[in-house]
Amino acid sequence: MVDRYNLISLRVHNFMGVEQSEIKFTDQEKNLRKVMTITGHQGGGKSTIIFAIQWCAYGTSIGATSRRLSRTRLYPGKWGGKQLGDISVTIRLRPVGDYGPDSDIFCKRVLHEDGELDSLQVTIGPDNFDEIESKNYFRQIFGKPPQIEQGAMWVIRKEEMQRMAETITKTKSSYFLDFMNLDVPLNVLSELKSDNDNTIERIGRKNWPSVHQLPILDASRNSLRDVIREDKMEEEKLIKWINENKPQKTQKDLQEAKETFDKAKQKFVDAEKSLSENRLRRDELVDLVNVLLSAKLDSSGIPVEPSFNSKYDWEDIASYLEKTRRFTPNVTNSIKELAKSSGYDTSGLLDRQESKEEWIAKIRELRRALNDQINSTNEIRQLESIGLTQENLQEISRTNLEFEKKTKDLGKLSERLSQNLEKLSGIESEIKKIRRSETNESKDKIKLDLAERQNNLLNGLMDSIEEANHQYKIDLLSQTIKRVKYFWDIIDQRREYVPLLIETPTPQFALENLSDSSVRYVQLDSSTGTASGGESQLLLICTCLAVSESSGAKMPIILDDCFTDVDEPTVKKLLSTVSEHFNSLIFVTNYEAKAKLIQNNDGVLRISRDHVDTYVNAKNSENWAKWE
Amino acid sequence: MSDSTIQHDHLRKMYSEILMTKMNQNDVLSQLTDEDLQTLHRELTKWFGASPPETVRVRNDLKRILSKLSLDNIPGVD
Repeated sequence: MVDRYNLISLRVHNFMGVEQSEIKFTDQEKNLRKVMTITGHQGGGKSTIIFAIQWCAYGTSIGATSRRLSRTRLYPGKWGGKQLGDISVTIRLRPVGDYGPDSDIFCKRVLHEDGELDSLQVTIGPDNFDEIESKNYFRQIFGKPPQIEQGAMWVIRKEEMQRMAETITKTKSSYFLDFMNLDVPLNVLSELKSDNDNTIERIGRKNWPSVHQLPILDASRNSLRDVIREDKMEEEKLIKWINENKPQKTQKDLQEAKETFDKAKQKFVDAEKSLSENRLRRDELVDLVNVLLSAKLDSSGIPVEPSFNSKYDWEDIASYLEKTRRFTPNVTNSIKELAKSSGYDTSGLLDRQESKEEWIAKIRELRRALNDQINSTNEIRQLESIGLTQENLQEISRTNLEFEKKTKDLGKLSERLSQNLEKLSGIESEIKKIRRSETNESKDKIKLDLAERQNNLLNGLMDSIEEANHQYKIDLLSQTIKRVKYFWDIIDQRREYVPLLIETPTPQFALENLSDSSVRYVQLDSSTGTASGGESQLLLICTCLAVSESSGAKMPIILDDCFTDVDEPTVKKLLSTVSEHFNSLIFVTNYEAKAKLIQNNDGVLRISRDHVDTYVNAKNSENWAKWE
Repeated sequence: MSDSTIQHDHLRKMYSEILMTKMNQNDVLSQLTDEDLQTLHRELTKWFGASPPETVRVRNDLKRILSKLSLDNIPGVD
């Protein structure tokens, strides 16, 4: 942790009366000079060196109104009030302590010809820091730019003394905080709070899922599950029935079988009808016998006896036939039998030729009808033998119809089941979505809660820092006042007065007479104040030193000869006190005698310029600033 | 007090003590455990009067510390 820096070198380019110069503050053995004097005649360039250091530290923003180190004030006179090139100052610093050249910090400020603002560049060894980091380094090393009422008090000139006299109040004491340098942590705290604010806003914008729909969806799901469960049971039953009652024949087969059966049945009915219609009557049978016999006789070449043309004479006919030996006994016996029956006359035997063809057709028809009857009967029997009875077919048809109905029912049920399952899936998906959202909501709420808690903590922390800053400034002011008295006690040689802070009506430092307690006010110019010039200057210097100490100034104290009215013993004591106390002092004076007042001086830098109008450049730089 | 380092340490200590007092007095921070409060305070103390810390480093350090603190007693979402 670096507490103070030593000046190693100062490089100046196009700054006021210096075109180009580098002043090294180390001795020939490269040892640091902690206490040194810069002296030289009026107009030699001593103040230019102080201004260069001050400008490098704070830039053109330093001061205001008449004290402002304005841009044009930096220009070399020969530029004629216009910037004709880049202006730059580089300060090389080394931390006090066990540090070598590798730790040197190069602080460079450049005012480019075409740039509106200064640019800062900090380099440590091989590391070049960016603009923001460089700015932080500048701030930490040099303190805030002294804008009238604030600034690290390490360059002590008349202007700073007057400024200090005007501003040493409770309300204008923020320079005390420069040393603490809590800007970065405070910015980070603010950023973290901002991050949390963003989280809170982002989560707050979210539309939470409709959790209140969950009970309704749950009820719908449970109800649907019941329906599905019942439907599934019904489906199982139907499937089981259908499997068990799967028809042996399909409806088509059954239809075909029924048609076959019906056809056979119809054939049988038709055959029966035909048989019934063609059934031979008794009188027709006699006629048939006559025709058949006549035909037989005719084909056998046996003439028909005229005697045959009588009724009930079948025995004669039979005997006749026997004689012809053309007929078997069975035939002749059958004919004899006809005689025993009534109604079978033979009258038609002779004239049956013309009805022969009719009988042939009739017989054929009868035979066909008989065949049909036999065939259809056989067919029906055959169908019945394989179970295709009328009753069976009816039963099968009934079962098939039921099967079809159940199958249709199963189809409808399956479709409904499928629709309900799909619906259930939708509801469950919605429930899951809501539950998932609920989980996310829960997570978001945790995040929200954490962000709120952290923000409360961060607010508490920032409030505490703010309050601490306020308290610190008050305490530091009080301490500073004590330190003013401390420095006064050491440095003052006359012992007539002690410093006193007058709070009202306007806070200001004064001196209290030790003998009569009368008060003398600081003299800022010849028209104000009642203290003497020397006393006023000494009091202000003591104030500056106390503030410098309280504000944790890290740069060497630069005392520009601002105590012209202080007597020599006091100046001597002042210089020795500062050099011992701060262990780092640059004393700037016109007077040779004063330059010799510092006892433990590490060197005197003599600034001299032969002609005021001559600019310091690379060629004459060494002659301009010489170490003695 | 003739050495600047001693003076700087004095300033750091002074500020540190004031900050600790203010943190203890803060309604929210006082809800932290003593250990957490000290951890938080210690985290800030290391930057007092130091060379400018890198923002990224400070941010990471602070986030790490915040994540370690028990915020149970800190008011959150009602």
